Amino acid sequence: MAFYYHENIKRGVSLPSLIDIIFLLLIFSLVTLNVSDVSDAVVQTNPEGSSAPELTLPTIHGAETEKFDRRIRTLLFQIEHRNPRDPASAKVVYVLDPGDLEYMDIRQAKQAAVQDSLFAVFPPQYLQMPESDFSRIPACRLIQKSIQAYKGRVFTEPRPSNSIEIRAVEDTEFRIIRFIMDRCSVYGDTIPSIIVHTLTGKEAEHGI
Amino acid sequence: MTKRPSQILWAAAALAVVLAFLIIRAVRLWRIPYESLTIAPEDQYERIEIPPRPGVRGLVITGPRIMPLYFAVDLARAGIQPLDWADLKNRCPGADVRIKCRVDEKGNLRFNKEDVRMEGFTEAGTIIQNAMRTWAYRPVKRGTLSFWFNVPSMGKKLKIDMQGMERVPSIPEHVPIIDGQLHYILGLPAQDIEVGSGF
Amino acid sequence: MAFKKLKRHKENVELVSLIDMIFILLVFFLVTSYVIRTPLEERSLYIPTPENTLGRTQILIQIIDGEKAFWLDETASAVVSSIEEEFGYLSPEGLRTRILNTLAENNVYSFERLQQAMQGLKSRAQRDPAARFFVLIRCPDEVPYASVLHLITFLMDTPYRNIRYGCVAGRLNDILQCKKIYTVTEDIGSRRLKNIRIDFQ
Repeated sequence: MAFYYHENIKRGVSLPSLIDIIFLLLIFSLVTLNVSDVSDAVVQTNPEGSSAPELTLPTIHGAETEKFDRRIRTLLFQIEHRNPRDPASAKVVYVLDPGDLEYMDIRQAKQAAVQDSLFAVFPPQYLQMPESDFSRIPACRLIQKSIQAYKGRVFTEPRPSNSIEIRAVEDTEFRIIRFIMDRCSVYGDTIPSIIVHTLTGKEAEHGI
Repeated sequence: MTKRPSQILWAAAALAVVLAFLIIRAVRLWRIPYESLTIAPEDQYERIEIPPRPGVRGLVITGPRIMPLYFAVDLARAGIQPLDWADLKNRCPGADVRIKCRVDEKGNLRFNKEDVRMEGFTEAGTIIQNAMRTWAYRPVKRGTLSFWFNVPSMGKKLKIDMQGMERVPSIPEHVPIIDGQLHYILGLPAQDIEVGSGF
Repeated sequence: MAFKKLKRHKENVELVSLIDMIFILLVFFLVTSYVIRTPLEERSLYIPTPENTLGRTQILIQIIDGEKAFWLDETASAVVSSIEEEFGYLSPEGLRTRILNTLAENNVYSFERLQQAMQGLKSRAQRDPAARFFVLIRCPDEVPYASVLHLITFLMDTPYRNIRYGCVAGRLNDILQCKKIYTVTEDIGSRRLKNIRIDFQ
């Protein structure tokens, strides 16, 4: 008698293919679904209970000196003392425009502002000036012109992310900040916010 | 020797590794404080929304919420007795009783014999009166309150007329008053009750 | 008897599939890693620009100078309301003066007391994550803007980020010289509120 040995060929699941498929499904679902880890911080309503949405606002941390090679993202007004070592010296505003370049950092932008004379000094008695006179001083006219030009060039439509940045020394009086805010508010929701960063006074050491 | 058990073990191990990665990642993300997280620039547009811009033309400072007052039977008072509708229906299935009551400023419900119309339904009238004499309301409204108990009705079995009610003068106009439960009857469904004006 | 020795098939890991898996893992972590970045070196503060409409706020902080501030919140509504009831016979001008004098007497805080009040607000915000608070800070022109930023930084330091703020220019005198101050009942959503309204012109 002859017996044939039958080999049982069992077809099992191909393991690498199985793992392949699992990962592909995982990546697909991660890419198509939103990752909502930070969504808890997005506030949906304002205190009045209406549906006006709100800004997710990071905190200020002006105690650290900003890196001078930080890229400028938007129109930036840098307000500092004319003589960084003399807090009693007049305040000067530099207009730092990111321009059309892909990348410009703060130091480069400030050098460009100095070269292009995009800076102006606030007169010593500017706090006592009436509003009409204050808005006519060269520093304020420079600020106004810069905002207008930048708005025309970049902020072509209202967007929540449109904002103008201010970097100012700590003892900058609120009047200057207020003037910039008022110039921005003229355009309504086109420029709905400003970003404020405090200078610590150490920037001069970094050549900013 | 079958391959199956070892293959299953491999598959289970792979799945365990994937799950472990996901769990560890989730825990690490959860532990990171918000300040350390950023969102990709392309996401910022969706995340950042228009901020509430402060107005400068005048100011409104939000005050406290004015909580509404409720005009209803004051169940917290001692001695309030319910009217048992099932008992009333069993004993007097054809009862038709009307009672015109007065609610004073302290919320007490008052009525006399003359205010009760119960022709032919004395027993039902007595049961209803005995219960209603114990009722009292929260002292926010005063006036006349009329009840029509119509047990055999195919429509509304109880109608309550609030036309003669007004707010107590000591309560300021800006405080809203909401009408709550104006009776204390057990076993009568809400859809058989009508609260309105006039019947 | 001859027995055939059964050959055991050894498990061989296929190299190609292994490389495939490694690349997939790589892609997986590349895609998901954008959510976590290195912390920001420096952070900035967003301040919304003002608009020419009626301002609404829950808490008003009017900076007076470097040491004092004027605080108005919902408790002031009861004060104004009681003055309106008790002194309703006065002329509008007299009533306005009485209300403002009373508020100026009781609601001018030293910075320590202001800090306590803000801490109380923060505690409320922490106890109720669903609550939303809006604080309006008014600052005179001559005060350094850093005062405002210190207040904002203090208020922002809440776990649920449910305190919002706005910042405008203004002096205490603007409030004390306002045209009218009175309580007004408003229905906002499903809530009826007894608010204080200050008309500047």
